[in-house]
Amino acid sequence: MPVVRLQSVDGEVFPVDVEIARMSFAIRNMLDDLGVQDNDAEEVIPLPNVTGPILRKVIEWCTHHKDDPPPPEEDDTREKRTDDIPAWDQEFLRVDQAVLFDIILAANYLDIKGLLDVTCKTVANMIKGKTPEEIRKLFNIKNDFTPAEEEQIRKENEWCEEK
Amino acid sequence: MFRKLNSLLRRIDPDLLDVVGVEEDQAPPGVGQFSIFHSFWPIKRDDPSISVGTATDVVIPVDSKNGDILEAKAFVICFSFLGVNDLKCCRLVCRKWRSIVNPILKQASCVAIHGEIAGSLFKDGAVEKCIKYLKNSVSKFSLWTTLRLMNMKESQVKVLLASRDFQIAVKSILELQMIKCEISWTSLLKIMRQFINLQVFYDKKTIYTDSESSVVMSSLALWNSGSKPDGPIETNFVKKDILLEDLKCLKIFKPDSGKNTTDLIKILTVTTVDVEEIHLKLDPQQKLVSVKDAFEFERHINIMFILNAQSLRKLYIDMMDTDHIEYFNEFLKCFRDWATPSSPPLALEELVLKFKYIWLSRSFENILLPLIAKCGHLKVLGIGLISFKPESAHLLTSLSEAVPSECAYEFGICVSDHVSSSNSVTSSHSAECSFDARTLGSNLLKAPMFQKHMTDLLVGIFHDDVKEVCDLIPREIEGRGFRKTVDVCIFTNGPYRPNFTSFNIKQLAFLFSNVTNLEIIDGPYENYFEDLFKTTSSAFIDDEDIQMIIKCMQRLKKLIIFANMETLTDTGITGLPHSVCYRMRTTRIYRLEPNEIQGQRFQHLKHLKYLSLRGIGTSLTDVSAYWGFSHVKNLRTLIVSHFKKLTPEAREYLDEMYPQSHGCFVAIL
Repeated sequence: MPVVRLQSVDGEVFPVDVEIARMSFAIRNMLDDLGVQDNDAEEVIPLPNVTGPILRKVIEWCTHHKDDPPPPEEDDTREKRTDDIPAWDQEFLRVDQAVLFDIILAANYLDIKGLLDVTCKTVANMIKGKTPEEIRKLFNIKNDFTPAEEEQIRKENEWCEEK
Repeated sequence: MFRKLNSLLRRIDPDLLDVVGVEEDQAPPGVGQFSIFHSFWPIKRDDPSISVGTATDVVIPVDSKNGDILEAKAFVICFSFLGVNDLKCCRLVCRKWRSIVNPILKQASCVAIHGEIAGSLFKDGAVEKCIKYLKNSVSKFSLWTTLRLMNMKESQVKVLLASRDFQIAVKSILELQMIKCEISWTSLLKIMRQFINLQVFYDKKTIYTDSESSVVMSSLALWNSGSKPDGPIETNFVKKDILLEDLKCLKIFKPDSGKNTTDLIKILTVTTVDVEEIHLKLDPQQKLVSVKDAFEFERHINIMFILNAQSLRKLYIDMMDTDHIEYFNEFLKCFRDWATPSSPPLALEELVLKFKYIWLSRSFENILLPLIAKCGHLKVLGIGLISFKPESAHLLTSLSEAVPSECAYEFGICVSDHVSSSNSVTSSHSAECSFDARTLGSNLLKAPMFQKHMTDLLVGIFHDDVKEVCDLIPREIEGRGFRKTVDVCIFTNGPYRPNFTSFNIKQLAFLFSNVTNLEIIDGPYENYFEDLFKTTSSAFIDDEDIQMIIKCMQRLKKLIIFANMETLTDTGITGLPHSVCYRMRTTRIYRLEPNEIQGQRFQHLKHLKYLSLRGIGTSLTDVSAYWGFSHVKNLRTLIVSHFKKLTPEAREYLDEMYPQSHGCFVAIL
């Protein structure tokens, strides 16, 4: 199995099967654009936006999901589900918030749709059903609204409903 | 090589720029930060060593702004999984979140003014409250471009239209939805004058109450010479004054094709120009509509089509509610002027025709096929429900030849053991002929074209020799079943038939795991309304079947089952073991002990709005009411018949759980 070597921003190098690396559309496009051949395997692909620990997690996820069928075409008009996260992924994403968000950013940067979806669903599930104050507490966000602004939004919200 | 690698990997989705571009206000530095990001952000944001790519690569340096873009992007994706209520909470979190949430919320939601909630008392002062809000609010409704008026009465609409603040606010409204309102024609015309930037007009079951629509037509005649008051519009009339120049999309959902609907079509025809999108859904054969009125309706639809023939890009016709077996062929006449050899090419990109019975007949061949051949830009073609007749199956080949190769299909298919007669659904035929129709339908379902593109399936069982559904639907389907199918209806008809014994739910659940509407009906439909206390179905639905439906068909919005459910127990409805149900029944304490297993409950169907089970047996008790039918988040209609053991307390519990004042309807018989 051909291997590519991915280098994280902090210099750690990970040898990865090409087929697993190609689950990242960013890497796939790059390999295709540059026509990288098997004999280039010794060359290192630098990933300047991903740290070693996060890259390790991403590779672990891709390795576990390497045989998954391609995701079904989603109909945009349908409400997106968040209750269908597989058990393995739930366990895999049982990490600190900081790590979770780093994985989201890495999945976005590397363009790995499945990982991006499942991580964002996890964050959406954290937000669902919570009050603004509970959300602020959860993500450690400071409320920077003036009381008048907040009141204005609350009043606007009263007139708003699903299309 | 590495420089190029670097630049490629730093390419950022241009959509991200939009996310930042829509920010209304920037938070002051240091305020409203995402501390979760700032504590671990892996890139030094102002690192000068990170190079900018070449001009040909759209490369953006990784600086602090891009850090924000990525944060915003991550949240945009997370928020896209949230419903409107959660989004409303999110925009209250901080300024930054508000700026990210607002565009998503704007897409997903609208401003809604409710006049009256069905079945409840008048909602006090909704209109006055709205006017007061508009007067005092700085932002008014500026975020939204869609306004929904729901259950509004004429008196309320009049007050709204007279308000100066409302008049100003609606100038930014691009889409008006009027749902179940009762207003006068005069008010409709006033609305058209005030909503000057309207692009989409959506009318669902609104009634226009002026007794004299001629008054309105007279005033229209003033604007548009050539149209006579209350008379038909001629196709060659000259529009002097176009009232709604930007109105390009009409969505009309009416119960029937009566005069009220036709007058609306007329008014929209003379007040608009170059309409690009028409959605029309109604029951044209509603019994109350006279033949003359139905004729007038079709005539004016035809005129509307002709006048917009060159501008129309999308046309959706849904007449699924009519049972008239020949209506599709009749309706095709509305297109006849488009389909003549001398008529010009059409600009249609999306054409969807939904009728309950589409026979591949002479009209199909002489009108629809030539029409489709004129649509050189067709991207979506939806046709359903097609009933197959062995002798006309070749027309499908002609259809695929007429359609541009890049066009996507959506097929609705009607499969039955019924013969190919187009005269009557219930006519009898020789067994040989019916077998042909069935084999044809079954074989076509195996074709990849239908497996991939089928959206609706209607299965009709008319003859005694069909024992179960899989006699008509092939058992073996490649891959993961019909993934695109959202609507499945299976029914048996005619007299009581003991031979039909099974819906084979296991197979259905596998084949149609994405279905949103599932109706399975055994026995004459009418009997359930005539005699609600008598079960006439012979096909059984048991505990395992219900559990299978809840487990596998998680997208269900509507579930209707008319079947013999005498063997169904509380376990099937609640997913609780028999022993637990027994304990609850005998102790009348409806609580779970620690570590007791919970199975599938209707509560797990998060989208379920409509649930109707008819024919349940005497085994169901209050356990089903407290554990099975309760807490279904989106349920609005619950109909259960033959639920004889339900106690008044449990019934009251369900009534309270789904109150009329929230638009819910509970009928337990």
